Amino acid sequence: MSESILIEALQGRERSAFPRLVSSYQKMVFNTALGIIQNKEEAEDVAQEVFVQVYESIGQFKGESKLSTWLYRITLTKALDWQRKKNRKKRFAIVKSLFGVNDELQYDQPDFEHPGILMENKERSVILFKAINTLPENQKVAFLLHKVEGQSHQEIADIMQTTVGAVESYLHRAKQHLRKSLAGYYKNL
Amino acid sequence: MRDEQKLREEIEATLNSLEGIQCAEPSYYFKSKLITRLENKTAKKSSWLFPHLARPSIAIAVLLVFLILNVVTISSLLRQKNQRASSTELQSFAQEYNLGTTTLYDTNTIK
Repeated sequence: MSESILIEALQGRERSAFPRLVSSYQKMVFNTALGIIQNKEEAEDVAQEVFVQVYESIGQFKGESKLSTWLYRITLTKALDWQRKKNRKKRFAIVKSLFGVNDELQYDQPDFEHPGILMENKERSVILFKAINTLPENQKVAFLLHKVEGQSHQEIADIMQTTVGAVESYLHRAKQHLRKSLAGYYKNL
Repeated sequence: MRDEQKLREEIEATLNSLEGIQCAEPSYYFKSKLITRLENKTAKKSSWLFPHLARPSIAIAVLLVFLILNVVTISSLLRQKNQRASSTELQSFAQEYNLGTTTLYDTNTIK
């Protein structure tokens, strides 16, 4: 089924259209959220929220971009919001621990092992994902879309609603930032 | 020098550890959970007012508003009734003592 037919069916509230959309895009949405959130259960929750929003707002989709681009944008917005909330909670827990209520450990992010990483790279990828977490949002998104989702610079530019030049700059700075973080990590070993 | 070289190799190897990454699979029940979530959301939306009213704080607040409205309405009705009663009493009193008729004193004022 072509994309335009699927969109028409979704906008016409055809019963079979939504499950078809979920089947086609669940992996993409889930993996994008997983890269940002780095927790399988939470990424699944976010992916579900994405599809709920898509179901509710499919009428607003004008077809100015590809359906996948639109889905990527919704997923990234939701995942980054989720991550921000989590970071706020973590900061709050740290402040609370300063005043004697110690629940800091509760919000400590455990090591993240991406299920799709090759066996021989598992250990290194855990260190890399930790370093990715310290990147500024734009650099993080560009890096993950490129390295995990395998998107081209042009596609990333469309998703992030920016220019190819800006994406290249994000990727370059992300790599610099990661090299610095990793150098710090290995020096302290 | 050798350490520097080793460090650089470690960093590059870690940076390249995402090479060949495979897609992660969401859980088997992802779709069915999503459908249930959507159904629950639709059901909640259709009965938006009732679950709100079922919350004790809102129910009590609504009840209080109704009570206050009732008290205000009843007291204003009573006040109107009293006013009407006193004005009819005054009218009958005025009629009994012919207070309504104008007298010479009213029309011919002394200049």
